[in-house]
Amino acid sequence: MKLYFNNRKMISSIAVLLIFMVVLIFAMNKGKEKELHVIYIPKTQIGGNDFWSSIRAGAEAAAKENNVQLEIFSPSDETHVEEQNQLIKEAVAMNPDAIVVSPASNTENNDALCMIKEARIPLVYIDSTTDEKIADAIVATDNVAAGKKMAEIMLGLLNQDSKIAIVSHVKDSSTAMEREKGFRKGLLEYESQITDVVYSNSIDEIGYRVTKELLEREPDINYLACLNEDSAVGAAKAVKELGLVNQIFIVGFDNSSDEIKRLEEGVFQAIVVQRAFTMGYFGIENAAKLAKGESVAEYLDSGSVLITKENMYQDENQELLFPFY
Amino acid sequence: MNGKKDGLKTLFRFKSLQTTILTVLVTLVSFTVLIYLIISVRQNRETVLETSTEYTQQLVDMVNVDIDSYFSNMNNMAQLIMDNSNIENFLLADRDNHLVEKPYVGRIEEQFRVLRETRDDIYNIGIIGKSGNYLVNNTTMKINPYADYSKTEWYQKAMEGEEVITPSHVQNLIADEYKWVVTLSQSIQNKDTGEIEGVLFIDLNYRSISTLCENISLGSKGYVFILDKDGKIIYHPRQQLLYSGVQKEETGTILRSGEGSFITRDRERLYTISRSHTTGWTVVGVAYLNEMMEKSNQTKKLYVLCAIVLIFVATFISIFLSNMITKPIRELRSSMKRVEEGNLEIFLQKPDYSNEIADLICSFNIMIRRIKQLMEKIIDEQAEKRRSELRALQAQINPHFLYNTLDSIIWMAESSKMAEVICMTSSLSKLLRKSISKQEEFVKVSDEIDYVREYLKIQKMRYHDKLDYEIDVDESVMRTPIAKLILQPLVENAIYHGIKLKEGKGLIRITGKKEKGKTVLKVIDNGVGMTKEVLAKLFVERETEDTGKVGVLNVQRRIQIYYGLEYGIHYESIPMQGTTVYIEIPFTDDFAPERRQHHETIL
Repeated sequence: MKLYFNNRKMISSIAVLLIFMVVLIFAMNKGKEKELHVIYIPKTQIGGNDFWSSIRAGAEAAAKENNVQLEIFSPSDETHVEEQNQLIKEAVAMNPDAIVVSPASNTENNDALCMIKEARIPLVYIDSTTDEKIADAIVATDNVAAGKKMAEIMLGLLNQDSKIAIVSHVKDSSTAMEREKGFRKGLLEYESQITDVVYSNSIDEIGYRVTKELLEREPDINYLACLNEDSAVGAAKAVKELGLVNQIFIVGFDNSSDEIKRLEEGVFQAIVVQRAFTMGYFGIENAAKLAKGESVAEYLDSGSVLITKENMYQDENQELLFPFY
Repeated sequence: MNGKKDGLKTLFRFKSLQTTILTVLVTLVSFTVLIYLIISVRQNRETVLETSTEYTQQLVDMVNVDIDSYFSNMNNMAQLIMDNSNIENFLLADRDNHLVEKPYVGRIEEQFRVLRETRDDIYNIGIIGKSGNYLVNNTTMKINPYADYSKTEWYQKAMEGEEVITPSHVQNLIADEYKWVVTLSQSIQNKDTGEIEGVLFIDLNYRSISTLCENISLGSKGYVFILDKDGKIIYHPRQQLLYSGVQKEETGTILRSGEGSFITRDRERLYTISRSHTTGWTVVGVAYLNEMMEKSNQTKKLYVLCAIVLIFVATFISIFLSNMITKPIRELRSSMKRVEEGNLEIFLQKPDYSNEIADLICSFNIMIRRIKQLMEKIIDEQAEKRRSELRALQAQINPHFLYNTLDSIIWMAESSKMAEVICMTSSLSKLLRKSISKQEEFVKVSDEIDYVREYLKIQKMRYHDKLDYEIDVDESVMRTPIAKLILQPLVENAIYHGIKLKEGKGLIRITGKKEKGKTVLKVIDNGVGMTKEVLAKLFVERETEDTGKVGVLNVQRRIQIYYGLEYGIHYESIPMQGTTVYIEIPFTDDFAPERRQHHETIL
């Protein structure tokens, strides 16, 4: 059959119709997102430690909401930086859509972390940072602000005779340095009354020992700021043992059932609690966004709350203190 | 605006009928299919939304029913405990009265133990008297010394006589235990006085409530949460995010709206609400519209695909149909075009169908036949006209010639040259008879030669000292038919324009022979001849042609009318030496004048 298409308009209108339909089909198929693969490498095994399980809960919530398949590679211990570096390398080898890390060391993770960037994989830090600027985004507690909060509750009570000591955790970790910095800043003119800084190395036994030694050596110390959970638990044990409850004003950091018990008992006058769930949530959400090519805030403060015995059972605080995961 | 309108107009001003039909068909079909598609997709969407909403409502209602039955169970249990008369004894007893040793304490403990063992969702059962006597689970249970129950809501409200179901909270009454519970509390009244003597509380594992919600599946992202009557969250899978202000829940809208469902303003989520009168709680199901619509979207895809296929099929059928419809019209048009170009030998096959186009083809055939007949008639009439004109022409003998000849006869008679008079008169008479007598258009060459000979005889007598002639025609061409009066006018021209003007005697030779299949006659004179200019103007039609005179052009036309354009006459001339006229006609040995007729119709 011979067809008579002597009209260009006819041909072009059929072509337009065709193109329109093809575009329609494509437009319909769009909008189906593919599942993203994100690997999170925390500092330590997630288990009993409430802080890390809250982070994981937040991370999992974000993963569910952002269509992310989340994998967690945990090193056995916070001090095993090499093991964490090894896990980072394994993660890079799997070529995921994004990697989220809580660097254990301020300096020792840099080389491994650089490999992530060399593989062009988006990198997000949760909780801690390193001294080199490697990550695309950071989600962490503003530790300076958290340190300040510890000082602020002391401020009204301090006088010229007050003697202040700090029980810190790991000397060169970013969190320890920043919290100390914030605490010192928050003390204003009383900063000079800080007599000692001791380190627990994130082990409560050591925290207990160094605090006990400190208090025996300097019995007139009456204000203690503990910069992480293990330091706080250790220090509280020492104070309790020395019978100095109510004589020493202690502010703890992070929460565990041990700390909460001490807060209820009145050993701690206050504790500063990080919003770990929020941290984990935004860490994964930002990683997902980066993997999709969206832009995110370079630094996000997940926030911290000062909790005292009086407000610990308020709705919004009991949720933070007693996660039900 | 105007330009756009024009553009639209030209867009639909197609060159061919087929294109127009095709466009109209495709446009109509596409339009219809698209309308149908839009309606179906919308209808499908609404149906899916409706079904999903109903389904969600059922699920949420079910959660509420579960919770209600759960709490009415608990209430029954509470009632059972309060019916125990030992409770009253315990509450009314003095605080320091060695409670542990009293036998009714043991009975209460036993009841609590049984209940806690049968229901593992019960964490704690306790009674607290206003005097400060309390019993939680059993007497050996270690109580958190720092916990202050008197400030809690569940204690205070129960002491006021209310039945309380608390929001989820952390129970810190038991030492070293921080469990998430929902506390049920009621006042214990003195049966005699009606006075409130204390509070009974049951701590329920928060999980037993939350699992009721968690087990409900509303897509991969959807969830169920519970609010109490004040809008406080009892259970929410994203409680943390809500408290830290990261996310917000539509609590306000939920509390304001009654039962049923609403869709958020961003059309992202569907909220389905169910309220319980037993607990005062509100169970809310949140489903994500894009998840609910996934099935609808698949259906939509199928619909769109079908529509596309339909439009394509329709387009191809339209192409076929429009081609079929316009095919006879196109044939008719091309036939018309051929007729336009002058070809009337066309007859269109009458189609085997009967419609307007078939009628048109019939009419076309009839019309062409009529035109053809008319044309033939016109041609016949024209030919007839020309023939009669020629006959009139042939019948003529130049009156000047006649007059001059008669004059010569008179003059000869006066001079008593009787022999010459007889000779000339007889030649004239022969000449006249030949031109009058025969009605045929064609004669033999011999006849024409005879005629010319008589003519020359007369002319020789008139110009006896000036004119001589020779006739030398082959016998072979003598029978060739020739149109009458071809030769004589040319001879006449040779005499009057060639010999007459020449000094001295002139000679006219007439030859005839077969050359290259033609009969070629020549009239050769040795007169004054013609210049090239005169020669060139010979065949040009002159406006003021003397009708009495038979011109060269006339002879030429006649030959070509009869024999065709490849025949005719032509001149060769050299000034002062003479002129030769070539007359070329077809050679035939057989004289049959009627066969010449058909040549005329060609013109």
